[in-house]
Amino acid sequence: MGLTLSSAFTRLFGKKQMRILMVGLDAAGKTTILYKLKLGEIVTTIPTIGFNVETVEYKNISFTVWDVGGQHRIRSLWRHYFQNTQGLIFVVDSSDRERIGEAEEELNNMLTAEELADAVLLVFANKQDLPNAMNASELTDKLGLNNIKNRRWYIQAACATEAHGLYEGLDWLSNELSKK
Amino acid sequence: MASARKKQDEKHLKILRELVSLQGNKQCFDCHQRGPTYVNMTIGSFVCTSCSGMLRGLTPPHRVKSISMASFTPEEIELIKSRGNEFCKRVWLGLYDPSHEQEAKDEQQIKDFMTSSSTDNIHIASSDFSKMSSSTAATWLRDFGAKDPFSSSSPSLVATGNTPNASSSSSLQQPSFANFDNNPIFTSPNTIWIHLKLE
Repeated sequence: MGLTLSSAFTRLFGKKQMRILMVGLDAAGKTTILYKLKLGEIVTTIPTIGFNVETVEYKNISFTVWDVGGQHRIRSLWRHYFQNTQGLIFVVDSSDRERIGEAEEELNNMLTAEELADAVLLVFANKQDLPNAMNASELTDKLGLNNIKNRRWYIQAACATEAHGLYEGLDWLSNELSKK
Repeated sequence: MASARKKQDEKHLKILRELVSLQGNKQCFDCHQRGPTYVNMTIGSFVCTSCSGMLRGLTPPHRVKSISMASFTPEEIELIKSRGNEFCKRVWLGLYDPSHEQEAKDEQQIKDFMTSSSTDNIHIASSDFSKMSSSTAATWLRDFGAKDPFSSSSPSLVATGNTPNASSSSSLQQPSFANFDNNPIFTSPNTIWIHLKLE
């Protein structure tokens, strides 16, 4: 009885937790997004070797966001962060038309992982402020998102430096979490 | 397949390590810090980690790649081989007066300088040019297959020996010069682009 009561209490008033893994090609803007969410500021980043992790409180949810370096030879390390991931954020540089195929490949490779079977996918179409940036529908096409089966996904246009779209993305993640 | 790739990566890494130990490449192109760890693929210079971070944050961004953590195509390696810091200094900092060099600590200042030197090309046009006799200059240009990036017509490179002067900026027509990807000049490894501001 006491146990049920306390768990109901936590359900109503306690903070929910969500473990988020944020990946993408190098220079997509992952670290900038992380620190924009955490500090509300634009920090000058250096290419991430290893990872950054921060908790971001939003709408009574505590998001633990793991931001893992995206340079080519360290992408094989991403899989070590898969376990228990509830939400996957894939960040793309929308202005990088040259490497969008590479991004598509990395994304689809990753989605075959057993450990990510239950994770929802949020794609940040970042750097929308740059000239010639691809919009969300073009990226949906180029990343092959419509071919994704058995997974909830959402693409959000974003500009980390202006904080556009970031909280909309978290909104979607929090909605998905409450559905579970 | 995978092992072939690995072999290639190792070979490229070895080449890069050799290149970065060459005299001009031992220091970061942008801040002179010793021991560059990244390559600025946009212009072909060797830079340190913190400058690589700033360069990728410029608008438009430069593409930087880690020497040890990125993979390079053979074409990219060729490009780096043909460029390097000495080359970039001649091209991008030809008009730059190093005596003005200040201890730039302010990040915005550094970024502005990076943009001005490689995007707005205000330091372009080798000052050495003005010292050269026109024939030497012509030879030099011919050897490098120089082109004026701003005119699609044949190179307007009559080196008259005039001191390039920043006062005449009328000739500066640079539609989307900053967009390195779209500029055919940047895709050819053998061209050097010199912009002479003739009075």
